[in-house]
Amino acid sequence: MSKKIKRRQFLAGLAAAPAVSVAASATKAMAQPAAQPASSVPPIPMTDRPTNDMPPQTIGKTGSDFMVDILKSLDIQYIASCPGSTFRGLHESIINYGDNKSPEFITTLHEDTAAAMCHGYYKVAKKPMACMVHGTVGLQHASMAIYNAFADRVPMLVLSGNIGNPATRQVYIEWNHSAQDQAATVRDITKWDDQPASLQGFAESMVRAYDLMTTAPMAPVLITADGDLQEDPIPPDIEKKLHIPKLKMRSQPSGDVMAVREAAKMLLAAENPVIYTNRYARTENGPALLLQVAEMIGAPVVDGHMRMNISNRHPLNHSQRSEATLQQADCILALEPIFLWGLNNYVPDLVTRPNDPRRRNPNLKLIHIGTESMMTKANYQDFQRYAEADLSIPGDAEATMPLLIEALKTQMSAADKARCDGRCAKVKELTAKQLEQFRERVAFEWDAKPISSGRLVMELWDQIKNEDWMMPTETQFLSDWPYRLWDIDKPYRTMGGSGAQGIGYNTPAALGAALANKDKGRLTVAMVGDGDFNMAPGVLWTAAHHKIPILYIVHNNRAYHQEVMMILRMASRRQRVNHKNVYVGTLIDNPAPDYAKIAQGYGLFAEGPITDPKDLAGAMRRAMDVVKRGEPALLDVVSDGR
Amino acid sequence: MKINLLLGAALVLFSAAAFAQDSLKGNAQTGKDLFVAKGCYSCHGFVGQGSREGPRLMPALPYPAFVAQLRTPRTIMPPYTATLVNDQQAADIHAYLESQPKPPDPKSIKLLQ
Repeated sequence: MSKKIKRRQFLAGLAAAPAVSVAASATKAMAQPAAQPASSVPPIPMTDRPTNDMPPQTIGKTGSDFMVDILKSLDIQYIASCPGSTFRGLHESIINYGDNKSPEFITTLHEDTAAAMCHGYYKVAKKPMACMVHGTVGLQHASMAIYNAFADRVPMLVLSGNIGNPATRQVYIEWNHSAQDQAATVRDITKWDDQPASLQGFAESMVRAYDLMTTAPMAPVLITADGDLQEDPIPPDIEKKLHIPKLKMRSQPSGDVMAVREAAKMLLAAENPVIYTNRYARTENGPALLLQVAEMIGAPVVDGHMRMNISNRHPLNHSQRSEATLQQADCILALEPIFLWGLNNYVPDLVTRPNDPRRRNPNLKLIHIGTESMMTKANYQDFQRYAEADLSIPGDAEATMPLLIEALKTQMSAADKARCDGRCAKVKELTAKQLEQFRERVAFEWDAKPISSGRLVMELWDQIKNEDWMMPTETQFLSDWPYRLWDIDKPYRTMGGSGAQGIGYNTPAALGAALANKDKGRLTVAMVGDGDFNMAPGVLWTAAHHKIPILYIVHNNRAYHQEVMMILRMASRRQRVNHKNVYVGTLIDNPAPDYAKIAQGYGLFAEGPITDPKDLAGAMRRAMDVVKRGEPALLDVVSDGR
Repeated sequence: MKINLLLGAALVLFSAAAFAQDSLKGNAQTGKDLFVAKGCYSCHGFVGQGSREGPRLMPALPYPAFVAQLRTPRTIMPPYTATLVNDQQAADIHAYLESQPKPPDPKSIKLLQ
């Protein structure tokens, strides 16, 4: 940018200008205030006063004001952040020039929280949120949450500050917070990044970033906003040339139509087709399209739960008898499966770590539709083990479903239809008694102390079953009871997991989801582990400060329980006699943290520790009343490990 | 079917252990403490109700089958040899599992209707 006027040069020039012209020009560009009244103090000529007595002022629209114009044009509703000096210009522009609306500044107490909120927000709102992180240190804090979102193929707009010009950096601190290549920290876990050197470049990079991150396979993007670019005024000759590109009609990449026709042929030829879904549903239309295919071919669906793919009580949902279902299959249609190899193979956690094939039909045909191969990086191994497929169709699975439905309709004969309809009826019968069986199972743990996960889950269900609820948190540490016993009927009830299993996802991601649910008028209930909660307890302050309604239930097993099991397994394999030491380093006890007090300290209604299952209903009712009033609440429930 | 065969084989193979229990009276209260101290609860739940990580242990298996699974487990459960859980301790843990009351009828639980 040859015409760029450096901040300090430009401001030095202002200092020599008449004060009256400074006063006349120092106005906000967006909401121009009325002309200032004449001062009763006569202006003092600049030449008559020492330079240090008259700090220079910024005149007119600044670079970061224009950056806010871009955020508004992209319809970014929220930007979560902890304040940092490398983006102070943009921060100020958001709250004053932009009037703190679209985006609204959401204050967090950790950058990991800011990024994880973006993750959860997108999965509910289906549109990206932004986070703004301090140069170097803030980005490093945010990196685990960015990795979770990357592994979960969820977009977020990460804005990082940076003071790119060494000559304008203040001594010491600004050097520590600047980088030659700010994005290097997260380049392996973002889809794209840029460090634009001009405002026009910034506009184009922001729109390109938005386009890339919201096109499957989706992932976070990082744009670095240079400090001088933010803080400098925009010279008039540059301002009139600035242009923000518009995103118009766009589509998602679907599978090749010829390959999809071949898939339809294979499915219609199968005797026992099965559909496996995992990171499949990209929109709320996804479940309906999936069911249409499943009903047409009479196939049971096994779901990996990384998205809300299918209602848990639909009779074609065979996820709770997944192995029996997959063993019968002679053709599997795998939709965004994430781990295709793991569908038919496993590595049991034994000393020798054997590679064991699962029991499958020897003539099994495997059709894979997904975006997994469309964005693979070299370093982090989230791409999983390579797997053979009989037919591999790169493309977004949900975008491909209409093509598959059309191909099935075209190819399906009357005889095919009769066969598929007959099979569909039989497949549905297999799940008829499932709910009853799960109710019998949960009865075994009904009165257990510490409180069992089954009891906790059903007490919560009793409170929400007549509400328009949404549960954004993972369920594997609750023995998946919600998927067994609740009625997960709407396409927005759940949103899958973290992606990379980076602990500390659930608590802040749930708040991001709650922020989106607040706009939709839905009730958010989040069950988080104590280990997860302790990674980001400051989330509660953000919830209270911004009045984001959410019920947090801490599933408090007073441990990193997964690791309790892991260390026990290690010790037993190695025949360590001194068993008492196996809890060293895995328990969160002695003293037991009081999560209700912590929550109260952050300004929330909270109760606990709750140790008797009979006390759950009353506590939940009281907390739910608070949440329905539009505020967050927390219950600390001392629970069984799983 | 396969599980039944395995359990049957275990009954034969570990009849010696069964005889051992005849001479070892298990103590349910001690067994409860051991169930936690030895980490059984971590996968099977505090009352042996089972979880995603480990199967339900109630109603309790016959003692020989219980010991067979303890010493030479199927699946990924690590082996608990006599070095880690001696015969008396095994009998105590088994006594704890046997002492567990029958679960309530789910039809009697309002929240399960």
